[in-house]
Amino acid sequence: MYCRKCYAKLDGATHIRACPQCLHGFDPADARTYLVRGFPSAWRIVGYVVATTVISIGGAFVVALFQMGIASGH
Amino acid sequence: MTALGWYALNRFVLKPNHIGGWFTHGYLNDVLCLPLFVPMILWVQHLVGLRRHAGYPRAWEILQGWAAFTLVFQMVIPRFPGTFITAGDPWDMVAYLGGGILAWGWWFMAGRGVRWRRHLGNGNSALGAQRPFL
Repeated sequence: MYCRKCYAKLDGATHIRACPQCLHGFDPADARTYLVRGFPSAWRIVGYVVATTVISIGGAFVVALFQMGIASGH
Repeated sequence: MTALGWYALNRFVLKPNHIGGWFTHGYLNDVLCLPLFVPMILWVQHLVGLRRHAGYPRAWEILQGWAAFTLVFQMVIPRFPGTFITAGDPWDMVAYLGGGILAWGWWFMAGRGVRWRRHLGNGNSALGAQRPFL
């Protein structure tokens, strides 16, 4: 059993029903509130890579816009 | 901060006084590109809640920054010469990558120092010392 938010192990925290690391709540009786393996799903990884790539490209465009006002490279 | 210092040195001292020749004129800013902007981009990702830790950049994050800057500065921007100022020099990509590798080495060593101090500090790496995957 692993935390949905930070992927920490929840084995010793079933009595407090909260992740000992990030305090994210979970219910041992409800499989939707925790992860079976301590690793994000493939869809979550893909979404994360896409979102961070969009932000990185946006950052590069901001640098390019900033560069418009400077004659010598970035 | 080191990259920012180098950028200021290049912009206000080296370039105006023609010190360093073609490298400082053509490529030093490109070498400084990833060390300077990857932490800023990762900070934005941290602010919007995508990056859950504030640790040193990982190799794949630096590679992602390299891909983004290469795409924008070598493929997109050169198509709009009237709007943006760029030379579209393919060697810029090598300069970005060189700067990224140097920065990765720097951050890797700095991260090792932090992990070592944490290890010495509490001796407990079971829960707290690990960074989340994403």
